[in-house]
This record gives sequence, structure tokens and C-alpha cells, in this order.
Amino acid sequence: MSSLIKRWIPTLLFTVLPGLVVLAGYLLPSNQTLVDFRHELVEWAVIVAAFAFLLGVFNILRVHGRQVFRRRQGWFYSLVLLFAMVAAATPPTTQAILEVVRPDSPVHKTLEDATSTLFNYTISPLGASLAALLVFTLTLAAFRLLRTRRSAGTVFFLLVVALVLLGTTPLIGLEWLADVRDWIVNVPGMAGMRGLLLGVALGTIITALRVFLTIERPYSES
Amino acid sequence: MIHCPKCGAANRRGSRFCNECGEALPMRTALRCPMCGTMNPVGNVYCDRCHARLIPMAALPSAEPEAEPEQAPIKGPSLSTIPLEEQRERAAEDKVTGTEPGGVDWLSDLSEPGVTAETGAIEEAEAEEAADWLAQLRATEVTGETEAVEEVETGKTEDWLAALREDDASKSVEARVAGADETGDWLAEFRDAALEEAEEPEPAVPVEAVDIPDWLRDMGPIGSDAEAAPPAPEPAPPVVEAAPEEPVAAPGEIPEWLQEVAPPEAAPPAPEPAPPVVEAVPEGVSSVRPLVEFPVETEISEAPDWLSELEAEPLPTPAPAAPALEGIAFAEIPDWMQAMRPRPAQAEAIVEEEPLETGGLLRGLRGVITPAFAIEAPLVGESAVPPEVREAGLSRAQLLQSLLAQPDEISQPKPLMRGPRVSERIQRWLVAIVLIATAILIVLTAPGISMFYIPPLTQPAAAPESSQRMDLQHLMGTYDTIQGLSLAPGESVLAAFEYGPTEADELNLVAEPLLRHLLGRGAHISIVSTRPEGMTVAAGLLERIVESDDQYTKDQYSLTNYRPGNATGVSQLLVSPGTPPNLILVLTAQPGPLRWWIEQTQAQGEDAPPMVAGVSAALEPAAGPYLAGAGKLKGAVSGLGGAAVYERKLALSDSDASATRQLNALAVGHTAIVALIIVGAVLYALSGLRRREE
Repeated sequence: MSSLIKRWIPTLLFTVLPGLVVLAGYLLPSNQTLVDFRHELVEWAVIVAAFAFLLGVFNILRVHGRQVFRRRQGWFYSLVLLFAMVAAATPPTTQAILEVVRPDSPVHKTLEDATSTLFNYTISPLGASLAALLVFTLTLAAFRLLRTRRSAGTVFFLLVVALVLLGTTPLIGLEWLADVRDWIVNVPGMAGMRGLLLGVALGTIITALRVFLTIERPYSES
Repeated sequence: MIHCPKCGAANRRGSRFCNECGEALPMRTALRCPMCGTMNPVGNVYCDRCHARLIPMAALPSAEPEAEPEQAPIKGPSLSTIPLEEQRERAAEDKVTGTEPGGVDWLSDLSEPGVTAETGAIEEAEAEEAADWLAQLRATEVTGETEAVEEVETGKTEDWLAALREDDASKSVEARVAGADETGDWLAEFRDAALEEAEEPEPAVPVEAVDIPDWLRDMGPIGSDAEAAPPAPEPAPPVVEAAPEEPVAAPGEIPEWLQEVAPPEAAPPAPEPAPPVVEAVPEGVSSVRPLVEFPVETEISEAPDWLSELEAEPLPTPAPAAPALEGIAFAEIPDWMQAMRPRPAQAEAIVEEEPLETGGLLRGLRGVITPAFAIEAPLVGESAVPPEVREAGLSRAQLLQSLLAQPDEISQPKPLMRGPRVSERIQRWLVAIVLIATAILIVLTAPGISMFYIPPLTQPAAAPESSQRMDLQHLMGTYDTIQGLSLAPGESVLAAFEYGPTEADELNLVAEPLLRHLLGRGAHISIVSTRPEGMTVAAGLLERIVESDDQYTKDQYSLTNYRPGNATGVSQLLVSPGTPPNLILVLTAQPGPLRWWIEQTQAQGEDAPPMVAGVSAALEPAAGPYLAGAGKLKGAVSGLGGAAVYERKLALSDSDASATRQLNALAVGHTAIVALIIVGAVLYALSGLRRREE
């Protein structure tokens, strides 16, 4: 009895039933009631997701705050993280609040400039630098690939990489490489991508069925 | 090793006192169960948790009877009742047959191998019995024996006890183990002491007179050495030191005192292994126990006592000890001692004082377990554990001990932390230098920075509308879709910026010509994103585009909101009330957001707006399957190359054609990477061939 109350009724009420209603709203678009109900449930889901985002922020504050206060290993990096998070979140948050409280405040422009400056001169360059590091890593891996694995497949792989790279921006006189690259991307490449998409679709269907049948409960610890 | 808490000296494991300063060493009084690992108090025969046997049948009990005799619980079923019942039966039998009381039997049982000493609880029961017996002895002493007779008899008793020790010392190890099973560890240690004395003769330290009760001192001299020796401050001088004064008889050799006392006829045959446990310990011998204290070998490590002792004396098969007693004549028991055997009436009194049950539901009751149960139980160790089983068990016990002796954490071999070899460092530096040089070259040849004209290394494809290339056809699909928009006032285009600063360097160049095209068409762009940073990226890009051309205004775009929830957020945005967009532009470098937008837009049915996409070059194959069908995705522009083609199609000026300006840098970078790949492939192919030849 307790299992029925604690487990099955909430599962059926809050998981299976809403899922079936949303699915029916997709499959029966002519039924306006189902469609409206689906829209409402989707709206709730977005609110819950936004609240989860907020919970994530508080969780970061709690974890790294504890790290700092207890002086655990690496506490200094946690302190830097907390400082950076507060510094990055303060201008846009303040701006958003002022837009509601005092829409005509002259501080708006200052906060907006602070946000864009922080983004353009700190976050964006750091992100680009990380992407550039990836270039170096991949290039070194391709350089040493024949050292670790010496096979016909490896040679073929390196040949495809070289052709695609050169065909993306073909040098003058080598425009034919663009055609080769186009064929590689749109014939074998797209075939592989279709297979991946079909696999993802089948996996999504199976996962949805398992959740509907309560075989899997990713929302529950049990 | 145990380190003394006072002086810090290292002492042998199991030592009770420090060898340097005499300080009492800390001892662990617990036995680890070999089955479940539970720590049990010393004296337990069975585990408190799983009831597994802690002390094997053939092992010496490890209790400390002299230290905490009252704490030895009676765990076995009526272990203490065995001797009492036996005594009653034997006394009744003696009374009926008129034979001598069983002095011969209990003396022969003294070394009976088949009898198993179950626990220290047996000794507890024996102590109680001995107390009764001693009480009788005291009464006898008071009521009438002359002092001379007592003195002589006491002297005989002392000799007899010494002979017992000598005899025990001369036994084989098997007999000692079996005898220990029968008589308890105080007697086993007694015999061990004799053995140790034989190995290392030292000046004798007599038994302290303080330890000898008055009644026993009055009975006669304990020994001349004991009298001559000064009283030692330590209350428990080991017998090991007093033993050297006594001659050690060789196995089978008749001691001198026995030659005088024993009758000339041959010794009777050894009796059958008798089952009673406590009968193997005569009362007279038990009474000696309070006189001495033995060093107790308490296990300190994780392995229990019985395991250590098994390893020290791995002799599983106890031999019958009767031959060792062949030289002892049965008639040696004096009459006065025979007279001290409890009469049947006295045995009844002893039954009334059966040991108190100390645990379980029967706690506080006496004699609740009937003696008949114990008699019927197969308590004879010899028959319960055959020799071959003991050998197998011994090997398992030794294996268990070796496992327990291993450290908890199995030491793993430390991985070799070797640094990169010289050739690897050279390779890394080679790759880094080439890439850095390429970047410097790109910067120096960039338009506006370079002092000299750099001719274009590559050019975007011309006339894409007539090309057979798929990417150009997809690009033209995008161009035609935007070009075909008929935007009425109030209608807008929804632009989803699904990328962040990491991908902004490429995606901004892809998005810019598309946004310029839309703004040029007079569309109002509503910007959304399912990523928090997407809105900021979009705001910066549109602000730069609007500022670069006077024909665009800031009113042509608006930042809507960040939409959490991934696919759910996209669905919620598409079904939100309001005027639906005329076109959806998705800008992303990740397959997930592209799929979300395509799937959710497709789910809206025929009324859903068309879609176009600007994706990174790596995502072009992911967009291809959606472009091939008759879906909502009408076209896509991929990568810097596609953006440059689109700019050329829009005929943008050189200042506005950002992607075209980057083409040279991209071509140089790609060429450098391909060159490195070729060099590495050739290098390792040659080295592999050379290695194969070698």
C-alpha cells in the first residue's frame, strides 16, 4: 500500500500521464484540447528548467563556497571562480532589475557597456583560445598518427582529412579539390550522418517507451 | 613488535611486560572471527555474530584465566557440567565396585589426546571444582591429620607435581598439543615452561611465597629452592625460571622419585581415550594453578591466537599420551589423596554449585542445561576431528594467516612516469613552430596590417546557382528563401543564435552575410537562444552590422529572451501566442540545437515557417539529411567558405565581406596543417620501414 502511494501513483500522475498527453497532442493536432494541454505542460517544463538553472547557480555557490571556507585543496581556484561568477553576473542582473524598477535610469548604458566589455574582452577571447588549442592538439595527433597505428585505414583517414581541408578553401589552381571535398561530405559523410540520426531516433523511441512503462525512472533515485 | 609506552623499547609481539622496564604493555583483548571478521572478547569460543568457532578443536585456548577468570563466559552447552557428571558416575561406580577411586583414570586422562579443552570456561568450572576440593582439603587439615604426615604427604605431592612437569616437558609436541586440549592452557604453558627451561637454563627464581596460600604452605615445603629464594616483587614469577632446578626426564625415562615410589611391576596399559573433558584435570593439579602466573600469549595482530599457535606448532595429529605415562604407576596416588576425592554426597553438593550461566536467556541460572546432553555430545576431540581433516584445516589456517598478515592495501607497482622522449619533444616543437609561424604569417598578410599587397590565395566559388556542388545548392536554397520573403509590416524573422564565444569566430562570419541579407530585405529580426551566452553574442554582432551600414537601423532587430529547456524551450517558443515568424534562421555549430529546431518546427505542421541555417563547416554533413527531403529546412550556409560565397552572391563590398577577408588566412592555415600531416606520415612510414628491415 505504501509502495502504491509513494511510488506508483506519483509516477503515473506526474510522469506517465503528462507524457502521454503531450504525445497525444503531437499525434492528434486536430484535438484542440489536447494541443492546449500540451502547450500548457510545455510551458510548465520551461519554468521548471529555468528554476533548475537557478538551482545550478546556487549549487555552484554552495560547493565552491564550502571549498573556500574549509580551505580544502584548490580553494584558491574556487575563490577565483566565485569571484568571476559574481563579477560576470552582477552587471546584467542589475541591469535587468533596473529595467523593471527604474526604466529611465542612466545607469543602464553603463551596465550594458560593462557587460559587453566583459564579454568581448574576456569571455570571447578565452573561448577562442581554447578552440585554438584544439587545433594544435588535433594537428599533433594527426602528425603522429602513423607512429601509433600503421594501417591502410589510417592512411586513408589522413588522406581524407587532407582532401577535406584543402577542398574547404582550395588554393587557386586546385579548385577541383572543392569538388572532391563536396563529394566526400555529401555522399559518404551524409550517409553516415543519416545512420546516426536513425539510431538516435530509434533510441529516443525506446527510451520514451521505457519511461512511459516505468521501466526506467530517470527522475527518481530508485 | 610492541613498543613500550614508558621506555619505548621494542618487545616481541605478544609480550605482556616490557623487557626493559617491566612496564605492562598494552594488549588487545579481542579475537577476530575468521568467518565474519567480528572482534570478539578473549574467552569466546564462538563468534558473537555468526557463531563460528573461534578456537579450533586442536588449538590451545587463548584465554587469560589468571587475569580475568570471572570474565570467561560459559559459551558452550554445559561444558562445565561434564566433569561433575563424570565425577558422580565414576564415584558411584567406584562405590559399587569397591575399587580404588579413579586416581588412575584421571591421571591417565591428564595426557589423553582425544579430550578437547573447549574454552577458558572449562577452566573456570575447574577452578570452582578445585575450590570445593580445596575446601575439603582445608577441612581435612583442620580435623585431624598430624603435621608430620602432612609434611611428608605434601612433599610427595610436590614431587608428584614436579614429575608431572618433567613428564610434560619430555612429551612429544603432539602429546603436548593434545594434552593442552584436555587440560587447558595453564597446564600447557606449564609444560611449555619446562621446555623453555630445558632450552635456556637460567638461575631459578622461586615461586613467591606470597602467592602460596597459607593452607598450602602449612601442608609442607613446596621446594627447597622456593624457600631459599627471596620473595620477588613481581606477583607472578614465571615458572619457566623456577623449572631449571628440576631435572627433565627423557621421554620414557622413569624419574628418580618415581623409581622410588613406583611398584616393581610394569606399568598398566594405556587406557582408552576417555571422552570427559574435565576429568583429565585432577583436582590436585587444578589447585596448583593459583600459585603461579604464566605469561599469556595474547594475540596482538589481526590473526587470532589459535592461528599463531597453529603456525608455531603445526602438528595436527595428537598421539595418545598413554605411553608417556607408562612409567607412572597407578598406585602412586597416596591414600590421603584418594580420600580427598569427592564422595557422592559431595558431588551432589557440587552440582548445586554448577557455574552460573553468564549469557543468553539463561543468564543468572545454575545448572539449567542437563549434564546428560554434554555426555551424549561428541565432545571427544580425537573422534570429532580426524587427523586428515586437521591437516587440511591446518593448511587452510596457515593460508588464512598468511592472507591476514598481508597489508590491507595491495601495493601496486608504481607506473613509470617517464617523460616524453627527445624525438617526441622535437615533434611537438616542430608542430608548434609551424603553427605559430603560420599564425604570424596570417597576421602579417592580413589586409590593413600588411605593408604590401598579398594576392588572394583562394577565391570563393563563382556562379553558385549553376554549380553541381551540393553545398552551393544548399547555399542557393538559403539565398532564394530569404530573397523570396514577402514581409508585411509587423512580420519578423526569428534568428536563433545557438552558439557561444568559443564558436563565435567562425559562426559570426557565417551569420553576418545572412543577417545583412535579411536586414537588406527590410526584415525585423527577433533574436532568441537556448544558450545564455547566445543573446550577448547576437547583440554584439548585430550592433556591429548596424553600425557598419547606414541603411540598417537598430529598430530592425530585437533581443527576445533566453529560452531554457533545450527542445522544450524551442517548442514552447514556437507555440507561444503572437504572430508567427515568416522565417526561422538557425545559427549553430552543434548538432543538438539544429535537430531541436528542425524537429520542433516540423512538428508544427504545414503552418510552420520555413527554415534556413548557418552552420559551421564541421556541421555540414549533419544538416545534409534534412536538406535532401521536402522538410522545413530550405537551405544552409556552412563554414567560412560558404559565407564567402554568400558574400560574393550578395556583392558586398570588401569592407563588409568579412568572410572573404579571412579566406587567405584560412587557406594558409589549412595548407600548413596538411603539410604537417604529410611530413608526419612520411616520417613515420619511413621509420616503420626501417624498423621492419632491422
